[in-house]
Amino acid sequence: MNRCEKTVLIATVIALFFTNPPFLNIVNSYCKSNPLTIGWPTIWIYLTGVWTVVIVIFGIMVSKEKTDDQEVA
Amino acid sequence: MEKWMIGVTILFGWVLLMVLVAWMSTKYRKLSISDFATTGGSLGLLTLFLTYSATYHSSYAFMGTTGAVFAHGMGWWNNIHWTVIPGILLWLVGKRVWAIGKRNNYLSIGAYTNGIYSTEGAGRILSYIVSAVAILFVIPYTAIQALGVSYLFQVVSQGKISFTAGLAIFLVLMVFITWLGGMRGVAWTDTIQGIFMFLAMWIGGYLVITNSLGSVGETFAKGVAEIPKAFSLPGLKGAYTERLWVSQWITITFGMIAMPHVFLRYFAGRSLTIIKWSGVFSSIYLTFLYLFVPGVGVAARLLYPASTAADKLFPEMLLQYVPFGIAAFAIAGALAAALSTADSQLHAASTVFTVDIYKPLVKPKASEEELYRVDRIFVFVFGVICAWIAFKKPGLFLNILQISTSGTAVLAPVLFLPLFWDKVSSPAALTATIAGEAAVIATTFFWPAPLGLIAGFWGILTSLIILLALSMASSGKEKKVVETVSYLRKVFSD
Repeated sequence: MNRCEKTVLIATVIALFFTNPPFLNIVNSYCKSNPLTIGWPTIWIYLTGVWTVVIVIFGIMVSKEKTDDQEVA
Repeated sequence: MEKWMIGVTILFGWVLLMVLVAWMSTKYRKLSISDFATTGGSLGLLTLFLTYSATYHSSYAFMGTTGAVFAHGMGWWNNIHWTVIPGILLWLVGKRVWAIGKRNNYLSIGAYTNGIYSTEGAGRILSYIVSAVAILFVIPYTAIQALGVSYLFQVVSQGKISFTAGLAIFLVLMVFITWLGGMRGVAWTDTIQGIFMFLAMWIGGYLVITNSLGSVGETFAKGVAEIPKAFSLPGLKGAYTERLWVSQWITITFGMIAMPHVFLRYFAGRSLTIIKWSGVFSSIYLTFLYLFVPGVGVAARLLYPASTAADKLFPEMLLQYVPFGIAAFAIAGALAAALSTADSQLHAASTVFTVDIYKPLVKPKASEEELYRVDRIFVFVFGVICAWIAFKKPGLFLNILQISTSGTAVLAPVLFLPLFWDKVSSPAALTATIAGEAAVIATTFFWPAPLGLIAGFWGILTSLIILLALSMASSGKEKKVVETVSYLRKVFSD
């Protein structure tokens, strides 16, 4: 694995930590008392926010990754 | 013009457009199994990312997701795990599969398995089992696509087209597009359908919410007041427990990327650059396709609290709250969602059978053109099997999705670990696959979801543990696995 792949993998693992139990239970408790944030479901905003960060990191790392099509061909 | 005539005109216009696009793709056709199975690895960025995305999302995306929010609330957004991670895995895993596929001219999941593991003994048996499992679990999933859209023909035509006629139209279209264009025809139609599906989900979803309950904000505010449990876990029915949450995304994410119709697309890209950017765009597309689904699902719960047909609510709301012409266009988007998956699955089932079972067992010396013709015959055969299952009307989309992906999730460790770890052995992979599938059967039929964890989780866990344990215990390394890992390290290291 190259550096870009490792970075995305680490970002994914961190996102999984934040969007799964037991950490998600803390967020879920907050959602019970604050079900909406800026008019949308808080839990939806939270999950979408975390994974959008991962997508952004993914895009940046893919743009930085050196790809040599010739080497494969 | 009467409403049903407008609806039928729009639906048949869409059908004709798909046939036209599939026919246009044949101008680039070569009469070979390589071209029919994977376009010979010639798809560009737009086509690959949209065929990957449209194939990945099915009827479930259009109809099942609203049904899931209606039934469970925001716990449904567990889905985000299997909308983002597949794009990342297309990049991490798919590009490696692509690279060795390009190098060795692999056309299918069984050929790939036979290529990375030993070609004799356990490795050979494994490739047959992988192919058989892939076909076995993809067929019911294909059938539910037909089931969902047949109902839509009935609704849009206001009963003028019966369920049976709608089913027949869909199946004929599915078989014809696949038969006519193979992977290229399917990918080209997927491209159009992917764009269409996205517009239908956004425009249709937004209009349903605003026309029924005023605005997105008002819908959620009313939802909080009337169904507060929908806005946290474990949801309205208490189903989204910690264990379901974790086991569901693991099963569906890894089950989907090991499904044959998704797997074939790893071979179809023209270059590494196209593969890697397809991963990024797929993650964006798959995730944000669902922007208005939470609002539609909550609105559905508020407006039809007693409904027993959750999967049918989105099209029903379109017809009730959106001008008929726009609703019919949006419903054609549901047809696009279903067809883009169904034709890809049918194509994958026939190709896997032809390349991985027919060729090695029946006619090892068959020419490329002969296999191409055989593949087209099996398109018909599997189409008929799908029709038979669809007439049996299986349950909720989400349930079928879970069952299908449970079976293929078992294959994920066996298919992808040898891309990174050269200690993996053929006997270990064979044992892991058999034990994993046994675990899926046991935890589906005899001991359902032990400890609250669904069958696919037990299957993939069993498969992974056995694969790791037996591979570490085996003496020495297999030459082919070592060569594969060594080659991939050379290509993809810094």
